Amino acid sequence: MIRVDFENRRRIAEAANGEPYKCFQCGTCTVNCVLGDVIPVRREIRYIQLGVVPSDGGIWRCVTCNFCRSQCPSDVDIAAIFRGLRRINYDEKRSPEELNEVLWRVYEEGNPLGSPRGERFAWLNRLVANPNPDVVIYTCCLAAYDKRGQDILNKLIDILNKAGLEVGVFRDGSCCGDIVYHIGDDYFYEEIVNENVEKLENLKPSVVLTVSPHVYHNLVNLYPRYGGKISAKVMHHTQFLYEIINEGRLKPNKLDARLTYHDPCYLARYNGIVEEPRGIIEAIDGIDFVEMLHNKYETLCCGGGGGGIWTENMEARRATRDRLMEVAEADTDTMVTSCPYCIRMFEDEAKVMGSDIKVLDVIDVLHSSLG
Amino acid sequence: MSDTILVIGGGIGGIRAALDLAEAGAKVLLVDKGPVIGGRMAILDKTFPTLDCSICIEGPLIGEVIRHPNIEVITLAEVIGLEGEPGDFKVKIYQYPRYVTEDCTKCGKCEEVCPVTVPFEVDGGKGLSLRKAIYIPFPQAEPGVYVIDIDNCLNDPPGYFPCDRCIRVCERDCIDFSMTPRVIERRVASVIVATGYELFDPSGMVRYGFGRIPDVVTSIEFDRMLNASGPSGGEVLRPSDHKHAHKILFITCVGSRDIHNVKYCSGFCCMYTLKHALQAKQHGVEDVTCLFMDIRAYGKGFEDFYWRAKKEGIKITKGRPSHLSYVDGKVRVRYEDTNEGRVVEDEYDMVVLAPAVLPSGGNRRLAEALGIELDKYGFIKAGVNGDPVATTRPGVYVCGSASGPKDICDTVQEGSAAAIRALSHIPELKPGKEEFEEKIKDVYPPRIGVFVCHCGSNIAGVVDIKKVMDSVKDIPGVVHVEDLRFACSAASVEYIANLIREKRLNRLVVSACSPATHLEVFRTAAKMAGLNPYLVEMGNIRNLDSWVHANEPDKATIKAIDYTLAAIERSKALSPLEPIIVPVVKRILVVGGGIAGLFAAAAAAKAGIETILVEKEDELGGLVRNLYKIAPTGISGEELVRTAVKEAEESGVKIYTGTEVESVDGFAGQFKVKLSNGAEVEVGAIILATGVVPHVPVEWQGLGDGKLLTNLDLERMRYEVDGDNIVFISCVGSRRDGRGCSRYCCTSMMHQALELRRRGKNVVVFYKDIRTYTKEAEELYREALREGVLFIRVDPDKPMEELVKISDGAVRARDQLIADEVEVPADKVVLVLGIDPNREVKNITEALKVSEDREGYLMEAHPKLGPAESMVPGIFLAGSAQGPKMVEETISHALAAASKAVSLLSKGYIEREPIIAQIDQDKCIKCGACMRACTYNAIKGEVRKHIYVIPALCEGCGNCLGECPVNAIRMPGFNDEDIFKMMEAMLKEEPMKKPIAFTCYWCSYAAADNTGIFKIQYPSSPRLIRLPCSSRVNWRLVKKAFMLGAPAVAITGCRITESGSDCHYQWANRSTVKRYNSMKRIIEKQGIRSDRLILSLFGAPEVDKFVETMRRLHEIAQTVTEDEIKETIEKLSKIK
Repeated sequence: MIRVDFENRRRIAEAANGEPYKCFQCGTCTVNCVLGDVIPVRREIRYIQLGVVPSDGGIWRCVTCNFCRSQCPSDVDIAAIFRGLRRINYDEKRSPEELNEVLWRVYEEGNPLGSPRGERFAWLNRLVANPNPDVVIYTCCLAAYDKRGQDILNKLIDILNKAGLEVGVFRDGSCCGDIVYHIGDDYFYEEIVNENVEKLENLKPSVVLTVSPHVYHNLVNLYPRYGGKISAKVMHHTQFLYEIINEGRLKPNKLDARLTYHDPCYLARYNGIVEEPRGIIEAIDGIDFVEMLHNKYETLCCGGGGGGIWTENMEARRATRDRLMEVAEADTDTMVTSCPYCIRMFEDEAKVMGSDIKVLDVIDVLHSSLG
Repeated sequence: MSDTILVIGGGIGGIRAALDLAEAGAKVLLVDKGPVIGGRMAILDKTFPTLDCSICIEGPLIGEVIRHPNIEVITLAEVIGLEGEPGDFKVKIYQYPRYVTEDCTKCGKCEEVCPVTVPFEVDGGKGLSLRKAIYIPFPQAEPGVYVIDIDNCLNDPPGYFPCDRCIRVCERDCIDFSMTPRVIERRVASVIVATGYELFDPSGMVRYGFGRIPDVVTSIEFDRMLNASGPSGGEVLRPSDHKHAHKILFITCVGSRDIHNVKYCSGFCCMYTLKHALQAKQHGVEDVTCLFMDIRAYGKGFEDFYWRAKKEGIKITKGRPSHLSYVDGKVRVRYEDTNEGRVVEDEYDMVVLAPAVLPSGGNRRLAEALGIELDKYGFIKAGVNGDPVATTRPGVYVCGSASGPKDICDTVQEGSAAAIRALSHIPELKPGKEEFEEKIKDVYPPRIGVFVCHCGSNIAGVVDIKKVMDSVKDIPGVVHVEDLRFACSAASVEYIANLIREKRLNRLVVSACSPATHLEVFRTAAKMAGLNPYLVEMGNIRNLDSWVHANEPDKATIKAIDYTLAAIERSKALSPLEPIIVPVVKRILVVGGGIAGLFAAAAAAKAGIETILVEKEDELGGLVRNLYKIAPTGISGEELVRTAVKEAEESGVKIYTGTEVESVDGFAGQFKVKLSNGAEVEVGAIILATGVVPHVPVEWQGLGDGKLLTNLDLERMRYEVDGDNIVFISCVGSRRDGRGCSRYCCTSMMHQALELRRRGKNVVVFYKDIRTYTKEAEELYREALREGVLFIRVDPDKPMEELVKISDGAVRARDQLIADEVEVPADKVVLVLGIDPNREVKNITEALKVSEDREGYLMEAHPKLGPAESMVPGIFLAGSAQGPKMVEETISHALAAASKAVSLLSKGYIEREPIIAQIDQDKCIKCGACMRACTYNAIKGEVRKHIYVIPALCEGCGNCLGECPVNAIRMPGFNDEDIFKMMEAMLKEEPMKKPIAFTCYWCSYAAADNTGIFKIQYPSSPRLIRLPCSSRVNWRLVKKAFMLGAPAVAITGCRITESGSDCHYQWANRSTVKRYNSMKRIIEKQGIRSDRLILSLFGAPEVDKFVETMRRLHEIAQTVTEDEIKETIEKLSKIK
């Protein structure tokens, strides 16, 4: 039997921004979770409504893609509810060991992979040391330490240079703190935010360019809540590239390809950026663009968000596979996206599946069209 | 000034408004943007909860509109401007050309040759079925002429005409491509908007797979499948492979109650989904599951319907679906059964979606043209100044789904309500009398015309029409026999009329569907030809034959022949009659001074009819007076009452408080009422607005420690309540032991809960289903959730007091949503009371013979189409007396009652059916038996001297004919000899295989009709004879049946229960029972097997009882031998 404790109920709901109150318990979320039947989402929310912290560990498996929210008739921000619960659990020292280890890695090496801090920028083809750069790239940890990500970053710099822009790289900063936020260590996150913002402000950039939708989301939406106000304009690379193409600073050449675009959750659902990447693709002549069944705000998930990529979250791979199937259903072998997590997750899973689906960043496509 | 009212939209709402207005004497201009009227109801298969055949009950109204001299119908037209003031508007109407003239006879030749085929939009437009560019939307469509869909026609007027196929075949030169659009300008006094709704396109929601998976269909597509005249001919077939579906999933709230789509509840999808689920079962789908969020079965009789669905084995699950996928030709769905917290994965042959109701796409343009506002969802803004049918512009009214989703019943109610409002802008009504010139005077000997209707394939698909025609053509008196595809279409009616004139027919027999729905239609045909309408008779070969013996075409054909022969024989006995004109007292009495009574009285008085209102209490305002705030708007009850009283007084209503009705006597048009203040008044109509009483929460007695209060207490306390933790328990007294939903309480509770929450309380609600079905109420629910009201769902199928335990400052119950007990600390527990029927008015209702429904509320004339009328002519129902309602619904219901009463009285007279008893004074032995039998005191006189019938009081039941020992009372078509002839005709061949069943028109015959609508199959052997009442049956009829060789005889009629009788003729069926007992004694005495005569009494909806009776007759008949019949005839021929 559950005894409703109003005070507890209020405290938990507050940690989740009041979102659990909005739920009328239809159960849409449970069966539409991209992970399959891993998390009894509705029941978790029901317990929260009654003032009880659910203890089955489901909340740690959520990849925060918020596909459930896009299907929810009450538009409940379910990822926010789970993140609130993670915070409470973290505070009460009930977070999984696996994730605590990730925290340590961020703490020690400034990235969740635990790779040496000193090698964060080993990928740079040449030293970029513009005193007054037009744009400053805030790289993502994954991109920085991953060969594929590094390649994309270099291509981005290449493209920007072709557009005649002076490029800088935010070399003083460390991890944006995304994973720290998702684990619920608010104190540590706040520390990271302050440190990053202070260093970033010193650079006085006019535009901060992110290659990861997660970094973008942190800088734009989460940092301000923790006192981190960035004076520069923060843009995701798809926004920026779309803008300079429209300004006529880039002239893509014809490219023969049939491809589809996968909207990263944090770009589409969290930030409403869906037209810009498509705009870039459309700007390239010769591309036969097809949409997948789920697109834009109803995009599916790679399974990498919310900590998914840093844990052995086997269930998350179901999401990855489902999405790759949709690529095939759209009758193409090329999936373009714009998130380092997505690229890593899909490429890895495609290999496991023995699929020949190519996963590209918009940057890859634009780069090849520029010859 | 104008005496015309503009009605925009020819769906059921517009039709009801137009008919009320026309009856009251106003002129009506009915404009519809489509080519025909009838709206959505016309294409629906069945209506819930009675499962009436939709077009069968709407069809007669469509016909009435088309034929009414006061109504002008303009189709293919849009209103484009409205200038001026109420009482004197100038309206501009833009009419698109039809390209077919009124001369069209619907012969269909043009359709045959038209080379263009397009998907039929009525069936969903996905190519399930096709139509031509020249077409008729549905078989019974009116106006009945063809229309050319010029967008798809090969021709492009005015300059391009590559195709003339239709022109060449049209024998009457009806096709005219030179027609051009025109602008019509008219003066009107007021306007009613009845433009209905549109449906959400679910293909926008990827999850549901609509458009991606062929076997995912919308509810409207499914409904069409159920329809015998639909694309699959009434079979449930998967669109992908046209195979019968065995397993179906229904999904509700597709786009509704969804912030990403439409926020509000679409109001009627829960009910039609249950209806479809039941129909699916009836159509042979074995496995049926419905997914719901809340079951919103809030209307009258809906709860019973829900239980019926459950009993039929339909799985009703609270849950929502996952992404639907198509695997190996099956639709794969996962959903969480939230009652069990279990994820179910299953495969279905077909999935049916109930899409959200959207505002009509044309609303914006129409609102601009009319100068009215829309609400935030795009519906017409209504409820201005607390008037549910008022828009933001004076003189412009709205009804039905144009202002928000509403079911047919609520739409009809609002149609009448809008009518009385619109009527108030016409200063004086000048009702005209219908002109009928009886040209055909020569009615003997009979010259009978027989028409046999195919009803599309409804009849012709089973019955061999040609055989029927051949079998009757040589019957003496028959001079013409012909078959018609749809005898009831306007073109056919006109055709019949022409034929009557041409062939000088003086009797008309139509073998088609039921006279209950269609006799009036064919009487009109007679009238058009100048033939007395009482010379028309019908054979019911559809509901009583082809529909119920679908698998026995040969036997059904023989039965159709028998019924047609019987109808021919009865027609010979008919005589020309004149309607009885009863002058009326132009005065209305409203009983009850609550909000319903006040609004009804004010509206009636405003329409120019003197109105009296009596209220037994000293104060007016009833229950509403005590409401601090009325949900969902939050206005105060006191204020609403004040406004209503003021309006009533200003309209000249005479109000007597502290006064009761002591006795009532009389009939429609002439009631005599005695009041408790000694006054005696004569009135023409009575509106019963006697309200309801709050349920007395006996379930929770013994907890009176100050912690327990009711929702009414909360109103009285103005929400000032102590304690931090407030718990609401809903459904107290509702939804249990056969009691339905009290309808008002969820919305009202939501308002209270939200108010208390905003005052900082912890608020918890124990509920079964949340039924906030209006736009505003659903918003309240959302707001209450957002603010943090906690909702605990308990088992909806058990009484609340069994589920919820109150003790020691806590409330405990099993929360279905976690399948565990939940305990909530409570400082105060608020019982949300259901409402109970007001039993204090029994003396009035009994005196007036107004029946009660199963729950004790006053019974309406028809659950869909007659919500504000009682079954008794001249008695109308206003407000919750008829069934639970919210305050705004009470007001619209009250207005509807006023509208009906005004329509009845404004002409100054009432026409009554002239088929009544007449005493043949030569034969009469003045014994007075008939006087004692008559339940209406319609037979007066002195025994042994003189006995006579008062025509204005006779209801035509025939009870006196059943009683008369010497056969001295006459009633055309129902005399002993007339019925003898019918039986002789039917039993001419193989009589021993044909048991006879005498049926009463109101119950058992109606049940037989309904059995047909349900397509329940039963043995074909019994032959039915329609009588007004079972009390018409006498020994002579029964004896004759046996003498003719019938193996068994059944007398069937309305129920008699301890509490009352369903009898339409006030307990006349008591005579039936009495006579049956004496007949039984006679045959027993003669040594005739007594089980060969049976009595079976049941109500119109009790089709199972009817079927059981038919089976019994059939079984008994099989046990009767030829010798036994011979013996019976011998024995009976010896007695008198």
